[in-house]
This record gives sequence, structure tokens and C-alpha cells, in this order.
Amino acid sequence: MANNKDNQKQEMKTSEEKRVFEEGIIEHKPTSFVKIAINRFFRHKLGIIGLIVFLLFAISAIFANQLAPHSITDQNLRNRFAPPTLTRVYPTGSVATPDLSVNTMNNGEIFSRDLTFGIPSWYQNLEQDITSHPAVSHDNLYFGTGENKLMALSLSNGSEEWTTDLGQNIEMVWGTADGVMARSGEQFFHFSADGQKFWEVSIPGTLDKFTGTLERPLVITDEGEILSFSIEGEKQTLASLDDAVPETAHFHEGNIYFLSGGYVYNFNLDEKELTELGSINGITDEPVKIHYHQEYLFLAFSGGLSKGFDPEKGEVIWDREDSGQLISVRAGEEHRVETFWNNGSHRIINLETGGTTSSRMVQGFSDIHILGTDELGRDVFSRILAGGRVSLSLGIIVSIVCVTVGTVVGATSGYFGGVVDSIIMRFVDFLLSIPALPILMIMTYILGPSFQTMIIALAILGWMSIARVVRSQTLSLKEQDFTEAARALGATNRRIILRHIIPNTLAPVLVAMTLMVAGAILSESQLSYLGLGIQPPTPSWGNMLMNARQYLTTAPWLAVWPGLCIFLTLLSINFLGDAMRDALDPKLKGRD
Amino acid sequence: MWVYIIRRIMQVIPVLILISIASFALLNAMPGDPIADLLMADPEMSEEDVANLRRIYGLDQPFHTRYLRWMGAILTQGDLGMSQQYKVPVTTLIARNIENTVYLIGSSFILSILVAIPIGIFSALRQYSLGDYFWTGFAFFGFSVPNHWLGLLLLFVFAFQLGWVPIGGFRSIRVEPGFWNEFFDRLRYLILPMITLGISSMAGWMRYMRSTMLEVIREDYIRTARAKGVAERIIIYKHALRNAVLPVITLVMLAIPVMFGGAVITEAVFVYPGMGRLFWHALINHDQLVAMSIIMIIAVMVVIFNLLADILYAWVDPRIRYD
Repeated sequence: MANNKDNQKQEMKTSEEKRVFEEGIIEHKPTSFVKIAINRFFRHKLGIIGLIVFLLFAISAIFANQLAPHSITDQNLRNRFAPPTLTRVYPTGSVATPDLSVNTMNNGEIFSRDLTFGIPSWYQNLEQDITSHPAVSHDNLYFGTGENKLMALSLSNGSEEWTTDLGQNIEMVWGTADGVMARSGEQFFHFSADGQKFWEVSIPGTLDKFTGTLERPLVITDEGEILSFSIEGEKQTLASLDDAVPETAHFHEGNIYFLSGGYVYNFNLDEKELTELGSINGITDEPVKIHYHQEYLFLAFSGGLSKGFDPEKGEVIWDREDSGQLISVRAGEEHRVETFWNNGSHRIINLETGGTTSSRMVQGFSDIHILGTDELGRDVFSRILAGGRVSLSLGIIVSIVCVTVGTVVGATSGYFGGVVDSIIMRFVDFLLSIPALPILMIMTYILGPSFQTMIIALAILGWMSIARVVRSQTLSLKEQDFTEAARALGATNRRIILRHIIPNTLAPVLVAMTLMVAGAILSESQLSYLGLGIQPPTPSWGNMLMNARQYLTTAPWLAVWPGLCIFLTLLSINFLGDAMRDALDPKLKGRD
Repeated sequence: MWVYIIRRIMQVIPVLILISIASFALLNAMPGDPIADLLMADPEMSEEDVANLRRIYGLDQPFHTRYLRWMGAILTQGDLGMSQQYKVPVTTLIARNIENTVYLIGSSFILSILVAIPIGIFSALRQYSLGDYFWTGFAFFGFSVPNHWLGLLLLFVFAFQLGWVPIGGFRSIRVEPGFWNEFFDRLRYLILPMITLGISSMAGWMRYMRSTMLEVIREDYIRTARAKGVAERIIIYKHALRNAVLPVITLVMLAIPVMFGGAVITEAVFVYPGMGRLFWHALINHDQLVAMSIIMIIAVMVVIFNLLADILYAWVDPRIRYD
């Protein structure tokens, strides 16, 4: 095969020479080089395949809006449920009834969603801050506001039912069987559902860890005292937990389940008996929630980690990790709990397996949605097209910026040499040996993640490899005769660099530029996967993969399509780059 | 040789100082500061309280004073500060996680070498054979596959569908005592992350080994050895391999800190409690000191491995020392 290729090359060379000799024309060198390069490129089968696949992706990205069967913006508007992460606007909490879920945002916006049809229900903007987690009881939604008010809204339409000024910052609100209980520092208040105050008690001591329940108002103090209240507001100590001070607890039918120091405990209120159920090994994160449901315990930790725990066997049965932080949990059907997260997602987790049954919205293939729908009911095919547009345009813009900067820096630095050159190259060498992803993460974090800042961050790290290629070319080019000749003719340095050096470095730069598109697309998808890139609801292949992670057991196709697109794009670009390298650099031929 | 080593170590010191200044500057450039967080917790603080707090935290001092104080604490007490999210010293947090990352990077490094070097040699010796084409295809796959996607696919097939390996974590809760029991238990958790992290470096090293080997077997001294009638096996393993493997060793040394970048995404996919996941969570949860400390550790590691690679190279190739 190798010999065959060499023969072909030989033949072509001789025929070309013969033609030049016979016709007596000496062709202008650059055109013949380009022609040879193109000829050589089209003999590379994989290169052609790469080019075709890449062009297909590029065309579908350009015409994404026309090709998409469902409008991305419409779908996102219908799902204003996913607020951007890493901003100063965040949900203070979510609550849900069997047919409605409500998200309260710290800036006073309240979104509610009809769970039966998966569509937004009512929307309310209070134009004052919401400071507490919301609570639900008697068809009312309760929360504390920045103006020290306890507010009750109607769950059916979001209108205001009543408001009381408590004169101090409200930190916690719970729904109880009789109404609502609120906490402000050491003060505890109990109101009826129509706004009548039952009682007000003060409980001294640090009260950071406690839980309230629907069945009866109940408080666990920092010292491990369990307090209960009568309807008149008299507090009584039910029991003391001694050393095992709960980090988070859940009250369920006379039992308190809680986490303390890496162990799970159960305290029976009737028999006043404390049992150690087992340990949760190997977790360094802070516990956030514990929830008992249908013979299983659901444990959630800061940073999105959660575990399933079997109290009978006393061991962890599964663990999983989601993006965002858990805000609230409530019981679902059978062995499932419904969870609400600070990035707006709503997940139904099966306590037996740890798998997610996504809310009713995830669908498989159908005539309307040829690649199915995602967790918010959005068409996957349309999102893939739009995501491709984001990823490809980002890759191309980044590579153009890098080539411009890298060529200028590399050519000037190599041409003039000296101390500046060696300092720049030392710096470049060092930065090239540092792992790029953590640096990119820090940069997008500082600049605030968005499309523009990702271009900036990727360009800052990307120009250096181009600069190195151009510099090494320049070093040899500036010693060549034609540069000397130009200098002898009185050309300025600027002219020599622009007209003689840079055009001659184009071949390797073109190859590096092609491969840089691939690098930028990969970095984009990794950053978006980690939540530091393109922010939802704008789709990108990376953040689609991030969402798919949670539905791997029930909807694996969500992970397959975006990943396959990244893979095919990178593969086609790598084929293309390889073919271009062979075509443009005759010296590399045969070395491979 | 010693003069060369000492000279290289002396060159490293200003680089380390520059790294620490850059890290501190980045830390200061990060959005929000501790006072702003305290203000969010207690909005009724007066201007005076804020000014007092700034003084107590030393935030009213100029940049260089704060830098020197910060650096002094690191050098004298190894104190990197407190984590805002976990409320424990950063050093404790790092100590808890570093072991797992060392296992992950180490095992995937060993796996990559064990696969890449023999296959690189094989491909070079049987250039353009069916096997060579297969491994070239594999290398293209390794270069192009996004490792978070590969991780998800492996997780789906081997953990969720077949149930051969656990779906996350780093060791079982109860393991029979004994070195081998613990070893195999850890391996069950490590195998998928190890492959995911190692695949791209495996592909790269394989191609690099192939091309250096191809170059070496075309050298004159190999032809001389053949002409002398030395057995082919001895030519390959004694004459050619030694020279071909040298550049690969330096490349591989420099790749160790770079693998940390891959570890961030791999640990995120596999819920593996290591430095990469700690770094990611620190950024997501605005725990800036932790993130910055980890970046600084990586930069220092890069410098150290560069130094080691240089010294190793000088040791095997005496010409380097005189330039």
C-alpha cells in the first residue's frame, strides 16, 4: 500500500515536471502548491468523510432555526422554571401539593407549576425579598419577606390572603395541622390559617437544628432537646437525645430519624428509645436533609450528593449525585420521593434503586418528537440543533481569535528574538503544561459564565499553541534567502513579517486552527457539563449531557444524542486535520 | 550533573513566587468577599461594624501586606485558611480527598502506559498491517471521544444495566479485612473512572510511541546491527526500544499534572470523592479559598514535574547539561 502511494506520487511529480518542461511555462509557485495540496487532500478518504460530516454539522448549525421542528425560545418561555445557576437570584425553596409545585425566588418572584399537565400555572412578583423557605397548609402558601412580614398567598391563584408584621426577620416557616408556625431567632410564633395569632414563645439557646411537622409543632434544639407545644403555646420537653445532636432530622409517625456525626439514628417518641441504625461511610459533605418514606430513608448532602438508606439492614443501598442543592423533599407514589433543587429542577427518585423517574415529561421517540423530549418536556432534536449552533460557532470564533493573536505574537516574537522572546516563550511553555480545564473553570467563574466569557477564557488559553508553531516557523524563515533579499531591497520589518513570513506559516497554522475548533468544542462541553459554561435554558451539547446524567436509568437516550454529536464533530475534525496535515506538509509524509 | 540540577532548582524558586502572587491576585479578583456574605446573613449591620470587620479580617491593608501575611501563614504553619462551605481548615479538606485522586490518576497512568507502549511498538513493527489500522482507529476514537460522555456510557452499560460495578463512590462500607480484599474492592470502584480518564492519554502515547519507534528503526545503527546479523528480537528490544522509549518517558512525566484536568470531569461523572470533585464543588458553592488552594497545588505540581522531567532527561542525555 505504501509503495503504491509512493509510486502514484512519483508519477504525478514526473508528469507535472514533463508538462512544465514541454509547455515551457514556469508556473507561479503558490498556485501549484495549493493545487498539489488539494489533490493530495482528496486522495485521503477519511479526510473527505471528515469534511463531509463537518460540513453537515455546520449546515445544520447555520439553519438550526429553520430545521428545528419546535421553537427553542417558545419552549424555554413555557418553562421559566429553570433559573440560571451562579447568579444572585436563587430559589429560597419549593413546596408541592399533589397537583401544584411552587418555587419562591429571593427577589420576590414566585413561579407555580401545574404538575398534572407540566405547564406553568400562576406567577406572582411581590417586589420585595423573600427570606424564608415557603411552607404549605390549608391551601395557603406561607413565607417570610424582607420587610419582616409573614405572608399567606392562596395556592389556587397566588393572590394575597393575609399579611402580619412580626417586626423581625423571619427565618423559618412551617405548615402545621392548625395553621402556620414561624421562627425568628429565639422567638416562635403560631398562627391560624386565617391569620389569628395562637401564641408566641421564646426558646433560649442556639437553635440551628430543628424540624417542624404537619402533624404537630415540634422543635429539636441544638442540645438535642425535643420540645413540643400545646395549642396554648406551652412548651414541654418530650425527651433528650443526649450526645447525638441531630444535624438534620425528619419526624415520621412517632419516630424521629436523624443524622449525627456520620451515623443514622432513630428515636421513638412513645417509647423514648434511641437506636443507632448504621453509618454512612466515606462522606465528607454536610448533611442537608433526611426523609423517611415507605421503609427507606433518603439522605441528601450539600453539593448534590444523595444516598438511599435501608434502616432494616442498617446500610447505604445506593448513592447518586445531581447538580444543584436539595431544597425540599416530599413523599411520592410507592417507593418514590419528589425532590426540589435550588437550580429549579424537580426529580422523582426511586428509593429502592436510586434511579430517577423523571416527572411525566420525559418521552421516548414519537412522530412529533423524533428524538424524544427532555425532563421539562422540550424537544431533544430541536435542542440538539440549537446546541450545535452554540458549540460550533463558539469553536470557530475561538479558533479565529487564537490564530490572529497567536500569529501576531509568534511572528513578532520569533522575528525579533531577544529577551522579550525568551520571556514570552518561557511563559507560554509554563501555561501550556498546566491542565487547562481547572484554569478555564476559574476564569469563567471570575468572569461569570456565558457565551462571551467562554470565548474570552478559551482564547486566553488557546493562542499560545499557535504562537509556538508560528514562532518556530519564523525562526527558520527569517534565515532564508528570500527574507534576506526582501531586506536587501529595503523592505521594512513590518512588511517582511506581513508579506513574507506570515503567508509562509499558513500551512501549519491552518492545521492547528482546525484542531483548535475541536479543542474548543470539547472544552465548551466539559465546562457546560460542570455548570460553568453555557447556562440553561440556552441549550448546548454540554449542558444537555449534564441534565441527562440524572435520567441515565430511565431515559438513556437523553445522554446518547448530545454526546454522539460531540463525538462525531470531534472525530470529523480530527480526520480533517490529519488529512490537511498530510496534504499541506510534504515533509511529514511517510513519517506519520 | 549536580551543578545542572542545582541551577534548575534555583530557576524554579522565582517561578514558585510568581505562582503564589498570581494565585493571590486571582483570589482577590473573585466575585464577592467574606464581608458581603456576612452582610447577606445579617443585613442590619452598620457601616461602622463593616469597617471594623474589614479591619479584623485585614481587608483594609494594601495588596502586598495581605499577600505577605497570607504567604507567611502558609510557609510557617501550612495554614491555607478555612473553607467557607465546610467550616474546616482547607488543609484538612484536601488531606481527606487527595488520597483518592492519587489512586485514580496513578492507576489510570499505569493502565495507559501498559497499553500504549506495547501497542505502539507493535504498530510500528507491523506498519500498515490490519492490527496497525485497528489501533490507529482506536487512537482516533480515544482522541475524539469526550470523556464525560464515555463515562456516562460506561456507567449506563456496566453499572446500571449489567450491574458489574458500583455506580459511584470509592469503596464499600464493609469489606473483609486483608490487603487483597481491600485492593479488589477499590479496583471495582476505580475501573471505570480509570478507563475514562486514561483513554485520551493512552491514544496519544500510543501514536507517539509508534512514531518514535518508526524513526528509530530507520536509523543507521539499526541497519548496521541487522547487517552484522544480530537477531531481530535483540535489535528491537535492545537497540531500538531503549532509544525510542526515552522521549516517551519525558512526555509521560509532563502528562501527570495535566491528567488532573481530566480528573475533574471524571470525578464529577463518577461521583468519586477526590480533589477534582472538591475543586468543582468549591467553585459552584463559592468556596473560593479551597478552589484557589487546589489551583496553587496543581501549579506547584506542574513545576515539580517539569523539573523532574528536565533532570531525568539530562541524566539520560548528557548533551543537555552543556547548553
